[in-house]
Amino acid sequence: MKQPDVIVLGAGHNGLVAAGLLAKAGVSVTIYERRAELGGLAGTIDSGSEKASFAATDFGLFRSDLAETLELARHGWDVEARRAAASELIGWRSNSGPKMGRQHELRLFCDVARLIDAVAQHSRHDAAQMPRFLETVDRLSSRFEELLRTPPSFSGAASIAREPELMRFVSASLEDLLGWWFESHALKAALAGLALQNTGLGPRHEGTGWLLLYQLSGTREGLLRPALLEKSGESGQFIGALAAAARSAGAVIHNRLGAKAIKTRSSRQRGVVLDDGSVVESPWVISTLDAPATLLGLVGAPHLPVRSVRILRRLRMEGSTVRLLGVGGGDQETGRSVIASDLDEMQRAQDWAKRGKASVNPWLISANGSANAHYLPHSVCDDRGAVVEFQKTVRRTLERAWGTSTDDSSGEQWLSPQDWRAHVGATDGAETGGWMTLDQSLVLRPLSGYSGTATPIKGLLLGGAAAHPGGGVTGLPGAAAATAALGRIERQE
Amino acid sequence: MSRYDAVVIGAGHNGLINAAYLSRGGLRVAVVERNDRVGGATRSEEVFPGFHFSVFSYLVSLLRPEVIHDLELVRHGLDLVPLESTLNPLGGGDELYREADPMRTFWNVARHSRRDAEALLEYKTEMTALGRLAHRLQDLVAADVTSTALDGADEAASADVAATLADIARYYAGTPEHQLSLLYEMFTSSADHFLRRWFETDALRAALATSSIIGSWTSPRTPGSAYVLLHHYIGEVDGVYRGWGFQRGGTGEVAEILARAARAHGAEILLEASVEKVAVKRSESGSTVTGVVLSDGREIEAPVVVSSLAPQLTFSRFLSEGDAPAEVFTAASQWNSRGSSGKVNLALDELPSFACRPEPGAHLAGGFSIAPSVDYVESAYDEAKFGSYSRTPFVDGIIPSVIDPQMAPTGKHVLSCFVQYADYELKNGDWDQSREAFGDAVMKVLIEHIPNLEHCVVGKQVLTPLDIERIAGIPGGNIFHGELRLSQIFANRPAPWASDYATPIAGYYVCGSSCHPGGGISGGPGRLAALRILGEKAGSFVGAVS
Repeated sequence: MKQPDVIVLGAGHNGLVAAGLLAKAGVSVTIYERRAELGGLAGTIDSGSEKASFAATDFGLFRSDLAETLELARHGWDVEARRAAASELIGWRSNSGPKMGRQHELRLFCDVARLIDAVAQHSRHDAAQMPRFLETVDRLSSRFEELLRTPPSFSGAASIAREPELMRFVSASLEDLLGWWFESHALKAALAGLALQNTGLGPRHEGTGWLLLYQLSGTREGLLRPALLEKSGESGQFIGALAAAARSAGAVIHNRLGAKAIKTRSSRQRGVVLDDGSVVESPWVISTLDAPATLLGLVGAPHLPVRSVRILRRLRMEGSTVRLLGVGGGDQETGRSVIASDLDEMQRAQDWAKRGKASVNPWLISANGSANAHYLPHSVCDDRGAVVEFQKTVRRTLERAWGTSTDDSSGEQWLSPQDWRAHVGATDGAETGGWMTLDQSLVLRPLSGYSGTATPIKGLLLGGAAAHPGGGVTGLPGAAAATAALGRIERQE
Repeated sequence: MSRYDAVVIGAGHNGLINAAYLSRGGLRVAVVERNDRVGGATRSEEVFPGFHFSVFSYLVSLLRPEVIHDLELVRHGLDLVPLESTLNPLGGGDELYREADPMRTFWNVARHSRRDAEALLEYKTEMTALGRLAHRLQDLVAADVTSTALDGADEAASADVAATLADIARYYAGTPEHQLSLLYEMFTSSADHFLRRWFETDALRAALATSSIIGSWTSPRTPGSAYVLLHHYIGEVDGVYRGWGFQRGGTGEVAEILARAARAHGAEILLEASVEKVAVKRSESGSTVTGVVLSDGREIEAPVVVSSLAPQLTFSRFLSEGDAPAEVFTAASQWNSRGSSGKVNLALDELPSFACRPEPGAHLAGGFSIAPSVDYVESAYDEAKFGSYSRTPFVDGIIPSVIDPQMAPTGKHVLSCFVQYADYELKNGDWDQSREAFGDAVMKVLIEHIPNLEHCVVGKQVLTPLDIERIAGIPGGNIFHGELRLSQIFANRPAPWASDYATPIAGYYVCGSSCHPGGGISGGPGRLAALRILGEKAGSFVGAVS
């Protein structure tokens, strides 16, 4: 077999993006994926008789220019058509039940007039503030997008300090930031839920403003970006399109064949040992696994600088999101809803996780008959009693929110950080390739000393959520890795 | 009606330093102070007959050496006694004791972990280097650090700023990358996570982390808290980094010394002169300050007015709608200065005796800190952060009478504690009702580690965030006039349009702790603001201050 120019480990969405872009550029590329299913956390899982989204629910962050380059529309995922058909970003439902009447729900529509109307039901003050908020987000998001798309550097990080408004927004806590504009618990909780989903953080944590801008970027001129959800029966379409695009460009995808080691000599990558024991060689390997899984797991600590090993062991990875599939009852909405009361309660929920315990008052994001619940730390997943108790609370919260009884729990299926670890090898059940705190972002992502897509091993790049700019179905880390590999191939490094 | 070249509002340490520099620069300056004495939060008081206390801040560490030098503070009586040790009682008779002598500290820490004892030496070296880097930033006008002035109209000014920026760039270019990584991590990480780079001993991390949370609504495990760790490493006493000093006679004496220095240069200090509003003349080209109006009706005319108070007072209270663009009032209303701490001052009729170190000794002349574990501090934070106060608070204290016997009658003692956390806004009840219970919670913790306090307390003063607001005039009672967090420092302190101390109202300036480089008794804001004003007067832009 001819040696490919690039080997990509993992067929998550970032792996497929990287492979697709490289293949389009005329580079020969082979993907190895351990699971039978493609897509990683953005893929699907069998749930009863049909497929369900595995971890990701919203594909609205995927960048249009990548979709265009990869010709995703031709392969079955038409971003523009979907955007036109979608009408809202996210919603909020009270976790105390529908008895509160119209105060029970809030929907963040993309259409400004509808949005302001909806917000006015909760607070006229907030409705009046909304245009200024959107204007600010609009003003900051193009610069923010530039940051996300540029390989990070110290001068780049320092340049944020020269832009006071951006600096203030991204470094603030959501509690502070949302308080600058809004008073309504519903609105604040909806936006906080959007920003904090799957991150393990709470609204009082500084730097969570970064996460909000991360979620709001891609905004269309003063509007909120719509969420793009796979409707029931559509699960897997997005990943299917990405895989088709990569294949049609010439990428080779091997599933059911993962990597068990990366061979190195003198701090250079010398080939990948596959699960079947065979060794494949290539000048460039892009791993979409997280940094500890790639470097400590596949490369091995003895082959790494001592300093990097220390940093890798100290990275905060722990996942804490639990996902419930096959939710019966009242959730027939097409949109997503944050189910929470207010920011204080959301922070209290996080406080439990901080102490290494399961939240007794989880907040949820429900969508399409599924719900993501926060927070059940990976370290607690072995405690059967705690898990069962947490599941009960999630079920009760859903029942209260929708005002229905979900006696029928036969079709339900629970996924936890342990599943993220078991299925895609995420270290400590990390959902976003490691926490997306500011101290694990920009120039310190994937790890201090090696930023962007770089690693201490020559010929080995990171291209998953662990790389800059981070998690979420954006396609950006995969694209960054493809760009980095291409540049080096052209320079014949 | 009286006339001055400049009026400074507030006779706290920054106001006094500002006035002293302005007078030294040749301006006729009046300081107007609401209270019957100078000092603001820098205040000493004979709370009980014979017992003197530094009521609020009891240590001086961050006072800029330039200020000490320029204003000849030593000649005016500045006499800082270095605080040489910190004792952390850990409960059960155990302790962590850090002394001035690094070798003794080494062995004290090695009792807990030999590895950490070694790491502590490495840590101090790294932090001192980082402190020097940050020190550089602190000595520049914030607007320069984040300069957009490069495209400004004033050619000479631009050249100055460009030179400064080039200077910083050169400075940082020589910085090893791992230090830049550390600096970046420090600005964004949690204190506990940052300290894990070096230390495995929880008690040591807790002990070090406490300097990151003092005065801030944050905790060792909250992202962003590491920054204040650095802020405290910039302190300098006698040119020695990381020294804390105690002023003989109490911190209030520092204010008296500053007042003497200001007066020596010709400044007048008007006490019991409460500002009602700042007088502003509006015109089509914008607003111009004309002086201040006092609440007793007196008017003082001046082309320059400098406020050392927090933005809520400087802008929202003293100005009327229309005096300034709407964004000014918006920024003031968004300023986070929610207080997080209280104080307990005790008069004692005998020397305190620690459970872990019962005999009198040198440790009594140092500080002590009750923060036995990271979890302990974290719980204290969680107990208070939703509108309450810690049931088992973090307590940091000193026994001033051991350092300076004049603070108490012979054989008697005073003990001052800084206590965290206490939320300014209580969910249930108010601080006047909760003061006693808060004091009891502090006493319970103190008695656990200093058992003889059970019977030797002859006087107890409990100060809540509300008291700090009332007495020192800091809205919210935040000792730094506003949280020192990434979103409120540099160009955002207090707002981008005032980070160079000039406000959108011509002639109206700011110089308090809510300005760059921030809180602590540093005098940085007061000094830099004065240099900026004098530079403007002289027709040149004073950016970099060498």
